[in-house]
Amino acid sequence: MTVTIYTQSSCSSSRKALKWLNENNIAYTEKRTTSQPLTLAEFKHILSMTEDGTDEIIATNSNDFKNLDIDIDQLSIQELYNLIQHHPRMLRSPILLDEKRIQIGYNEMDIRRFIPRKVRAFELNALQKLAVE
Amino acid sequence: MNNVQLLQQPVAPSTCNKPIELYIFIDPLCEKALLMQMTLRKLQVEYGHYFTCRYVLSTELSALNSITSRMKGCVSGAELDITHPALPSIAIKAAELQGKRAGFRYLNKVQEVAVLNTRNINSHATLIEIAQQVNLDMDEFVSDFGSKEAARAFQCDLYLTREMEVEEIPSIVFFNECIEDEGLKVSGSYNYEVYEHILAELLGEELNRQPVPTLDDLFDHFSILTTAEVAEIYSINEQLAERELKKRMLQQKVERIMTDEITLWRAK
Repeated sequence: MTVTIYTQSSCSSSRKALKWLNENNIAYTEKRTTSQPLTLAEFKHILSMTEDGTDEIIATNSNDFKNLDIDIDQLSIQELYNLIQHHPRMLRSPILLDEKRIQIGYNEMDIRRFIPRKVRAFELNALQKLAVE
Repeated sequence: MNNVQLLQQPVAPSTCNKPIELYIFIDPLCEKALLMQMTLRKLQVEYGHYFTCRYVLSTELSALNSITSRMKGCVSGAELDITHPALPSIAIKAAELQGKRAGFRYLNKVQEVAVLNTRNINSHATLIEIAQQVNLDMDEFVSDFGSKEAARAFQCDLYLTREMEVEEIPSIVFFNECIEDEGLKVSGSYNYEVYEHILAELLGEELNRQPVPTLDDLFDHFSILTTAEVAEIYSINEQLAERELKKRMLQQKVERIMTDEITLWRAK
């Protein structure tokens, strides 16, 4: 599985994230939400990776959001989705996700989590020793 | 001129204050999972500022192969109260499409109903009712429950189970910030001290324990607790824990749910 990155046009953070993915040879699919609106399935996939639903992904300081002057907590998921389709810039960007995690906005430390890592088994002996102590 | 518009978008706040990621592989209806989750709750209360949790459902696939002839064909769950062992897992994933916290609330309630064993947790109708009880967006839940997205999310969990080579359920895989390090897979369930030790080792520093919240705050966070959990979290014996819980019951803050096997306390 690859990384999906939702970007917006003329967004410097999106450009930085794309540059980082390219430099690190990480396979990704880019979806530009400002030219190709999110599908409902994509929107729900993003929601499912967030800690508490909508708060994290809405750019509360964006003009789109401020002009709307709404309380997102009062909206159903469907209503919010409809709004985002018409005002894609009320989403924060970029949004990166793979099957494990989501990253909202660009942060050069956190984005490194998308580098694939192996898993090793914890030494059982060490565990047993600890249990005896 | 609006200066605010000229400001550059602030850099995303780092989640580095939570340097550890936990992938918790459970079969939601397995008793062993419940025991491990009890231990994890204590870990979360004390060291929750160090890690994020992602629950991965790894239901034993052979347990799911029980399709009956009645279910073949084109009947949706809503038309008929269908019962199937995969339904709880799919329902949990459908709930999760409303955010991790919503998914977690739903998971807990499913486990509670399963433990109390008064209702059939594999039934479509029960699973819908639980969604209502934990205040999900019902329109979305009902449409997601039978959807490709929920099924795909469940498949994604099974994929993760394979990718991280998890062979025993429950298991936890830990990742730290140091991307050169491999993830650490801890198969099976261990006592609290083992997980505490692993956290410290992965962080490479001494752990700072958060002060234990009051019992009322604890119930805000986890709406259902057993006497043993409360005893464990406060490091007191069960009699003392029970006495404290009974006090809360008299104050109408919690209610007690008892079956032959288990006593649960629920925030009112």
